[in-house]
Amino acid sequence: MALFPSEDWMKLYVEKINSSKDYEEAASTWEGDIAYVFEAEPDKGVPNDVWSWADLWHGKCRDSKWDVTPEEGEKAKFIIRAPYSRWKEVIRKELDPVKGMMQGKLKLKGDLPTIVRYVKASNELVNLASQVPTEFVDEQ
Amino acid sequence: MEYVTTDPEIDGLGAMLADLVRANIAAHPERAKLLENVSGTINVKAIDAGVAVGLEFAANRFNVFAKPFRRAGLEIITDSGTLMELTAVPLWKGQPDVRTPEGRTVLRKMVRRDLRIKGAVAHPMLLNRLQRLLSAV
Repeated sequence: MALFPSEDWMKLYVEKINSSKDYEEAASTWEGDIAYVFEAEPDKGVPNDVWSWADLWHGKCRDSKWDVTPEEGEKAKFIIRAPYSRWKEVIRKELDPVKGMMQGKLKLKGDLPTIVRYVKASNELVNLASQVPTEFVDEQ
Repeated sequence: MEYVTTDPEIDGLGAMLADLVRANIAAHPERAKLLENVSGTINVKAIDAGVAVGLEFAANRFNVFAKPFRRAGLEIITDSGTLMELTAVPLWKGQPDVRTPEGRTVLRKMVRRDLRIKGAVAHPMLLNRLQRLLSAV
């Protein structure tokens, strides 16, 4: 069990990505790093924005970093950001990320045509996040 | 030249469609020609997300509005996932290519009325241009 958001959670998430055949297949030609921004919600135990980074390459996560600076994170090819509680909904599969983006609840920065071509891989990343045994910081 | 203009209030779906068209024209400059000699309005509704936007082809530009038109020439009504699929489906002559699995999926959704396109018969060119402009493949 890992606390979300935390570096331990990120490590387990990366392990899930790297052991998933479905993701490997769906993202076999994907090349690009992603920064995830968990926006602060001080009343829920997330006092500051947290930036994490994952280098996704041909169906695997080659590298990841936790709590990178915004300057470092901004260099990623894609940036997905949302308040902590929205991410919690995504991880619990209560919020479909595509629907969330259309509702403006999740913000994506990066080449949208690329994301559109890899919707299956994106969905698989969400499925894998939901499989990480998670304890949420506001429910401790 | 800026081919896409947006309502300052747009967010979510409207911002995504505007970004998609901007990126497609940047990657394929020849697609700017799809804005020529065509005019008309389109409403796009993602029912499950509860959002709707208005799109307009006018004066060689693609305008995106935060709210749908009272009456639009075309109306595309479906769920958010299918809207994404529509932008990723291979096209043949500007229509979903039913020789591909993705094209057949779109066709099935139309038959089941999970995807409704009102005004397609009256405005075939408008629909054709929109599909080609939004296509990410």
